[in-house]
Amino acid sequence: MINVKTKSGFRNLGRKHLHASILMAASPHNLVNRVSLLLSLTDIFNMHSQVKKEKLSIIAFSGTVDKLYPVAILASGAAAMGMDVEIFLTFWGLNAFRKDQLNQPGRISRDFEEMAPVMMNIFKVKNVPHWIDMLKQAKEFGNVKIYACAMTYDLFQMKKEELSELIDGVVGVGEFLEKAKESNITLFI
Amino acid sequence: MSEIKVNKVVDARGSHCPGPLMELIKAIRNAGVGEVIAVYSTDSGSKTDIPRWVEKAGHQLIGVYERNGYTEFIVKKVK
Repeated sequence: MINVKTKSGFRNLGRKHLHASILMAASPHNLVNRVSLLLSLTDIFNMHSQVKKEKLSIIAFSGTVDKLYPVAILASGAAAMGMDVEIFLTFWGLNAFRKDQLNQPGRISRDFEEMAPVMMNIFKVKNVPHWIDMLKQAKEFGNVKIYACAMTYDLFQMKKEELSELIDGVVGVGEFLEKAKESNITLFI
Repeated sequence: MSEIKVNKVVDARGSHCPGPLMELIKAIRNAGVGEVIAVYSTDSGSKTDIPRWVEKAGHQLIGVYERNGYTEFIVKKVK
């Protein structure tokens, strides 16, 4: 559906109506109308694409590096492809953004515990940047917002200054869902 | 075959997904319309990601060449 501004304000214009208007305007007797309609259609499509910008939402629950990397890489990829990104950090995901945690060697899921030294060594040898630096770069690159879950923030008695500067604010689940419902892709990691 | 004039080379070899793509986008943002950028990548994800982004962003992928141990992408900024 496309929103069209008319004298009476905005109204939805279905595909069928739009098609009919193009046919009418395509009449050779109606060149001026046709040109002006095309111009206004371009405006509408531009406006439409600005309003409906593609968005990726991620709920980052896990605090282990094997899950924080996918969060960082997906966010970077989406920012590169021109999508908006919103990340909601909850529980261990938010805990990993504490400055004291960021200064420590990362943790890995217990399921893959025996792989941890191998994985860490590969990452070091191949010069893979820290996941927090990837997120920092993603934020410089595009519209990437990172929010702390208010409940986790309160329960763990966190303070803003103890958390990474990459965090844009503390939001409740209701506000995050309001933002996330506009997304094309929503992930829980 | 006529030789394509490359205005800027982005050597992203050793950078991992989506690093080379992000390097390319940065270079395109800083380039003028009509300029041609070559990107070198050792990341296998680039082979799908770079053509996809170039198409989405409305630029022109002039060529993809397998070199010795890396891939070279030639992209023209068209707008």
